[in-house]
Amino acid sequence: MPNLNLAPWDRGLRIAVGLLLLYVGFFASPSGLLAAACRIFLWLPLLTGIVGWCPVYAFFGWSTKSKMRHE
Amino acid sequence: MKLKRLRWLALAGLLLYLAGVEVARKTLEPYFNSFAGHLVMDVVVAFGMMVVFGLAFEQLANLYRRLERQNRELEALRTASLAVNVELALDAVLQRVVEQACRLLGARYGAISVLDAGQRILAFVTTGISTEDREQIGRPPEGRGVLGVPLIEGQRIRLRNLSSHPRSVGFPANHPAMSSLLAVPIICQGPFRGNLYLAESRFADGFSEEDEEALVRFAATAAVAIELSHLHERLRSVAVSDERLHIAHEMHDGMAQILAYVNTKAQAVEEHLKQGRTVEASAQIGQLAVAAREAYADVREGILGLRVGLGEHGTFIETLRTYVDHWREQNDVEATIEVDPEISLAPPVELQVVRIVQEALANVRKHARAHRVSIAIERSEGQMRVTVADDGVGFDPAALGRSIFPRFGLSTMRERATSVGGILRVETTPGKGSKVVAELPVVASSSPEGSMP
Repeated sequence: MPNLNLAPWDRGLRIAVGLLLLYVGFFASPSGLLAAACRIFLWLPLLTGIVGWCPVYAFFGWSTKSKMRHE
Repeated sequence: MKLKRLRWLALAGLLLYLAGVEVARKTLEPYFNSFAGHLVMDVVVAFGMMVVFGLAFEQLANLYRRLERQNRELEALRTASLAVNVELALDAVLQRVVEQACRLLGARYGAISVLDAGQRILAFVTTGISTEDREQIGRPPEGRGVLGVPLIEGQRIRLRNLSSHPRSVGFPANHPAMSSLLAVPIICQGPFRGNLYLAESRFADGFSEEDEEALVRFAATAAVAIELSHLHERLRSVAVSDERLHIAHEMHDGMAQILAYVNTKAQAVEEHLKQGRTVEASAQIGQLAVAAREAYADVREGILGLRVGLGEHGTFIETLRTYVDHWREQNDVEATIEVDPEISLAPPVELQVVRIVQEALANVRKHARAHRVSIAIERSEGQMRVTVADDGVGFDPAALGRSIFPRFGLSTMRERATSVGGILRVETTPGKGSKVVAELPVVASSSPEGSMP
């Protein structure tokens, strides 16, 4: 199990952005490509927010969590 | 994570990634003829790769951290173990152990307490807290609260919030506030028990299971230090009682022989007087007086040897120098001493070196009629050589057994050298002085200064 690297505020923000993309992609009826992009990308903030781990942060060794073990 | 599991996860991740790319391609197919469509697809691919690399890097970073931590732990344990080997003072060793544990596991405070068989505190060392603060807090903890779990019951304890434990009784006045706690018992073979505990982890998630295992290893090092210190104390007391026995043996044998000699002479005097041979009686009385002076000088020397005891004048080298200074004043013989300052010996060997030199000097006084005597203590081929050489009359070693007056110094010196695994030889020629050479093993001692029992 990877070390969680998202602070609660970060997770909340990601879930909010994911929900926004969900709304834009499925309910706001924007132009075709924008809707498709929203539908594809909405999972990224939503999943990372729910799980609490971001692969990009992990790749660069970043973390928004308070100081935990081994940091 | 095990490597086998990691392989399966990597395979599953790859399949998921491909599935995601396929879904994205299907969704974006109508827009592939536009630049924006290609851009979105590129971002999907790039992001997917980032997820895979992120996971891989996360695992690599975890492995690296674990290795780094193990290296730090090994280094800290090595430093603490080194203290066990080079320092004899129990408090100093325990201090080193608790400091290393604190540093490695990221604790703000740390302590070790050791109780003897009677539940009295034998040692209590702390780190992270000043001496003044410690004095203000008062008596060290005796294990009545949470600390009783490792100290009395021998159980480990790891808490994120100390006050939440049912055995928590709060802190004494002036004690700093502490929340997280990790405490493990120190299990010794001897009649001691102790605990090693750390408080206030610098990590938000407190002490981990890994920390607990590491602290157990530090506690094992502390246990070795405690047992070694205990053994050393016993060794010292055994050396002292051995020495007492030796002195008692020497006094018994020596005085018995002198008194037998006095008795023989007294009988001879009586016989001469009965038969009116006053000249012969007077000669016998003269020999009795010589024997009495010899015995008196022996007793004085013995008392000096006991007064300049090991441990009262710093290192054994200083003890020897003090003894030689006194001896020179008492006997008006020029005596010099040269000692290799780097030499270090085990306490029992130090004791025997001092006694051999004392005995050799006693022989010089009694028999050598020397003007100069030199004492040298040096290292030679992994051994220590003690040489006491004089410019006196020397003697014929073969004639020793035929002496009319009791001589037991050489056999005593030989016994002393043999008792610590060494040998003793005497080089002498009548009229050309004599040399007593003792070759003794050099046993690594605690410090280059030498140590006193």
